[in-house]
Amino acid sequence: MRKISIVLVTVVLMIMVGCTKQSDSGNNETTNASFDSIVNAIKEQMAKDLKEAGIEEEVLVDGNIMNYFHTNLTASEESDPAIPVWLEKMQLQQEDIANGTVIAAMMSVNADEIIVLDAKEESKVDSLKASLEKELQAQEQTWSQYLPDQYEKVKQNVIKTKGKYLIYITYSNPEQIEKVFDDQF
Amino acid sequence: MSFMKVMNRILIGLFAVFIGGISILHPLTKDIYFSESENRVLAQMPKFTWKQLASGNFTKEFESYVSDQFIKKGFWTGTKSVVEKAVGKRENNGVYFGKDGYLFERFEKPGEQLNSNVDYMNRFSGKIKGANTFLMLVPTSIEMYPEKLPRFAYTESEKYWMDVIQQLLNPSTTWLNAYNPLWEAKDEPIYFRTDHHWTTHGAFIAYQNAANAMGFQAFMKEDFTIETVSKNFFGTYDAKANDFTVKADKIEMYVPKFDVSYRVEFNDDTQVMDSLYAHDFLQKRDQYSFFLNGNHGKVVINSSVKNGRKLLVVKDSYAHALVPFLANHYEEIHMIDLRYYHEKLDNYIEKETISDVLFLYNIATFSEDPNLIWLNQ
Repeated sequence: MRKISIVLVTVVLMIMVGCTKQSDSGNNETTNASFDSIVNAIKEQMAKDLKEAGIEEEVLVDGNIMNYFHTNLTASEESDPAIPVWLEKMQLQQEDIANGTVIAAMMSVNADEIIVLDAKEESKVDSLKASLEKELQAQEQTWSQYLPDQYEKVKQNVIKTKGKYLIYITYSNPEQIEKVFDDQF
Repeated sequence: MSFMKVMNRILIGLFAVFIGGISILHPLTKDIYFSESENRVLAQMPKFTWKQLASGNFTKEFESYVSDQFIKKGFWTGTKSVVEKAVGKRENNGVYFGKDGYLFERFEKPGEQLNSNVDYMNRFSGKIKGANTFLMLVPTSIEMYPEKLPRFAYTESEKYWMDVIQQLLNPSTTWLNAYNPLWEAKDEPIYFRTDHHWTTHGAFIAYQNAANAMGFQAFMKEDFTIETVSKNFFGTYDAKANDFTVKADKIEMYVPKFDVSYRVEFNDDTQVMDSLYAHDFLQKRDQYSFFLNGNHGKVVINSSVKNGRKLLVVKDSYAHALVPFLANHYEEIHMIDLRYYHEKLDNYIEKETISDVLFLYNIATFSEDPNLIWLNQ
């Protein structure tokens, strides 16, 4: 009887170890999705949406969407004056991220804002999420006044974490961008 | 059958008709996309997927759909508000019911953002050489009419915080006092009763008072024909307070008697007007957008005043009522809203050879706006 239970326990333990291993490798897969491919897929989706909305000129030029700012958060602060502003605005430490991009509408009265962050370590994910929530508060403050259609986008904002990747979506159909993000894993 | 039994049956009947009738009528009435009176997009029937249901999103969205699309919603919420006012409630959605048909919004005690905003301004004015900088902070209506507030209504003193800002301000920036002249004119209609903005008349008073410091000779009231363009304006306070008994505001336009013309360009030439006013908005809920066509990231006004003076206005929507007066003294006015426009402004000033920079906000926006940080670029 005792022998049988030892065998049973061993088998159960092995199965558990096996499972943990598997889910571990699953996690690894998650982090293998590349930051660039996520951002590019998002840009392509945005370009497609703009096309469908009736914009005739080429929207995606040299990897940038026309009339949107693209800010590379890990570039040197001198290279783009918007970088320190975004970092301070979100209380974000540059050394906490391996990669980071902000895509935001340039000057039209448009709340579109998509942020993708790639944490340097898993332990930083929580504080990065707090940064994104801070940005959401700022957008609430900015848009709640009297631009109902844009405020609607902010209210439907999505913040999502997958492994070391975080995404912030203020957009007319956030589910679509969310799906593009999910499909990368 | 006893009387009580009959009464009970009638009550049950009424109840059933009310509950049943509304659920039957609901699918029969068409859903509304946009509520003009609330000035917001209403929730629509959510798309059903098993994933949405499992996550709880579907039921949550369905609930807001039902409450947003409730039949005659305005009637029910309005009734609630009137009944509540009758039994002594003094506020609805953060808006106080004041005397003489005034609605007021509380000014909250400013936090860290106010200090940061002054700091951003100071660093910015230190950076730009060769242009004069001015700051005009405008009080909101609640500050002007403490005697019209309901008893025990609480609000933070705006005057106190304006003094604090003036103290912190870099002395190279000229402080344009709007508080005193408005206070002296408080018996005139300088604020809308139902909206969070000031009136054309309020803006005119601040303009006259700023003229000296900004270096021009202000026009007098006699130089304009004053036209009433709307008598049915219900503003943002009204949308929040939802009080049937409040009377509409009117909107005035000051038409110069002297010869002047304008070309107004929005967001890098994507839209051009030859007027400072957009009359279309007078047919909508958001009538304040009559002034300069509402909110844009960037607006450039070219006037027929050929004096070579160029002004940059960094602002919130309070500027829209005042800038039309300034347009008679500057050849070019560039209006930037940092909420929607994030270019590097010191470069912009250099490129456009701007001579004067005016920061114009109401004190409530200035103390809360998270976007002045863009000056820091």
